[in-house]
Amino acid sequence: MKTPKLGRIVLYILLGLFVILSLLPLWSCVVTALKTSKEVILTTPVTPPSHPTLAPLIESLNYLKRPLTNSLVLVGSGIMVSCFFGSILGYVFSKRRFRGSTLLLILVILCLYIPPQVQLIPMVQTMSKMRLHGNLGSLVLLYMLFGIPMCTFIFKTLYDEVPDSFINAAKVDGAGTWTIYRRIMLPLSVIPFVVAALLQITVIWNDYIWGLVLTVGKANLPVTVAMANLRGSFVAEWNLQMAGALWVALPTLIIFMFLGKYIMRGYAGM
Amino acid sequence: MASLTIKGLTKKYGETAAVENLDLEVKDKEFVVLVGPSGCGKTTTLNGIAGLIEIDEGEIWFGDELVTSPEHGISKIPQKREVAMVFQDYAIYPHMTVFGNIAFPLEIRKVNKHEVEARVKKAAQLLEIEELLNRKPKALSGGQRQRIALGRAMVRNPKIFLLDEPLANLDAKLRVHARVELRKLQQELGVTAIFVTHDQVEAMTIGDRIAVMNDGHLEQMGTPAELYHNPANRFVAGFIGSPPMNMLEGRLEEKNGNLVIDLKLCIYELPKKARDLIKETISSKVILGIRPENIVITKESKRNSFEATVVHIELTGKESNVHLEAGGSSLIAIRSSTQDLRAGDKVWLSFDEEKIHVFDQKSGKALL
Repeated sequence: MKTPKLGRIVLYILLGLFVILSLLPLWSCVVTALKTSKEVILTTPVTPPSHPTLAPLIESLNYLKRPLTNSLVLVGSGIMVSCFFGSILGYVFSKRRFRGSTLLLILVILCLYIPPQVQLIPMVQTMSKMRLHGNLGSLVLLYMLFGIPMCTFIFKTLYDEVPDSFINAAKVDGAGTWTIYRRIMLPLSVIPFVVAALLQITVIWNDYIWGLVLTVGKANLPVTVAMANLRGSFVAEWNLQMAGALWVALPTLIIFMFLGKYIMRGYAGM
Repeated sequence: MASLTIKGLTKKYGETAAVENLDLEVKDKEFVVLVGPSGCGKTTTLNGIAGLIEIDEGEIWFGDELVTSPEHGISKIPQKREVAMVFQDYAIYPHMTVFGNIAFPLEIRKVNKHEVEARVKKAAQLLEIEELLNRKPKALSGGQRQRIALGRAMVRNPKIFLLDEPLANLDAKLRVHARVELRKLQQELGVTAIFVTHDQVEAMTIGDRIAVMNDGHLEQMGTPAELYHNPANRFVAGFIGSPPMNMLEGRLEEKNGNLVIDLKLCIYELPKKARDLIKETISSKVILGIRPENIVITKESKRNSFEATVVHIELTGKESNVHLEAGGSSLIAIRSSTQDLRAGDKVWLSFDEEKIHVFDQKSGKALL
């Protein structure tokens, strides 16, 4: 066996420290969620609970039930609509280019870079005119539309990898644009659909600002906004907040654990 | 089945012309090979025939049907042209079974199920891939994929078969075999076929006629023997044949009423008939071309010969390539027996008089 070099040892110690540092918030979140209100005040956020209790977790879940469902609805509808349009647009931009299509693609991608802050007021005005302001419908519509540029971009880059000869062969064999999409492109789209869906899930699930601005009343709130309301009116109920944060983070955490590599592909545009 | 006529095809990408004023005629049931170095416009021509690209000028006729003519605003979409195409990468759809791949063009045309099954089975039988029909193409070899691509092209009974380097991705041994098979298949089916390749050996062995292209132009079209024995210009002479034709630069002169070429190595006397054939002015620069197998190596000086040094002898099997050096130019000769030769030997070279070629140096045109 080779004795490890000094440099290696230092590296591992450093890496270990970084791991502890980055896991510390999660740790304190978990331990705080398991404490009673009294113990939260008496102990530091990193000490383990002496009498662990599930009460905060149950209480926060009860409070978050409706918002969790709301967020699921948002994610579900958002994914379906943006992926559908993203896939068709990606196909057109990748395999069915026309005069001006590059310019259009650039415009679509530019939409990704408009900060939400500048859209807040016009969006609230538009939604009120459409009588959607305040209810969940406004968010459903918003996420459906806002997801399309990102999905288009993902589908376009992944469709670029499909050889043009597939398209040409199908054309010569008699297939029209729509048939080629349905028979050739769509069946080859499992990975782009997974990648686009995962990115949309994380974006929609973690979004806070649009939910805060566009929805009113607990029945309409997405989970991130509702979680912020857990902070308590007179005293900071840290244990409830941490328990709520765990519930909110759980779905994305599970997704990242199992499907993280697809999200990496999405960000890398591969 | 149909003949194919191309008149004045031009395709430009920006300022550069990929194909310029190309005329090509392919007879019914003929196997024509488009050959040329990469970037010569052969694939562009093929895509133009298939309708996959829009051409800028010219006409394409399938039999007596005009399918492309930008002048008349005619451009039949590829879906409506009765051509089948085999691509270099075969374009086998990974999500379909082999059966699905071959049946694809029929399913699109809404041919009824029994008919599809019968036709796919028949094609598979002919290509000997029946046992693969239910497999996914993922694990199949290059040769098997090539057969699937051929099968997909065959089931439709197209008028014209277009083949874009279908053998380029096969290993050398399989390629020779596939060449023979492909030729046999084309004759059995009795279709018109246009085959694109950059490999002149492949072109020579597979085609009824060969069209040699270079820089977007058609250099010469003819049977393999015509191209080999009577190249129209220097490009064709150099491109067809392996090892390539030897080229020696010289100047055309007159001596005792006979035409000679001053090769610097020697004053080479041209055969008598040259006097009538070559109309070029005296002292114009020319190139003398001679195929490796038409160089005669002797130990003594003869008429019309010059001295050379053997540089290297390469045994290729039945024959040997003898690399020679004479006055700064290198030549290759082919000889069946080289026992009397050794690297470093001084020898005398003469040419088979009937087999020499003379090209104009400026235009490259064949003079003799």
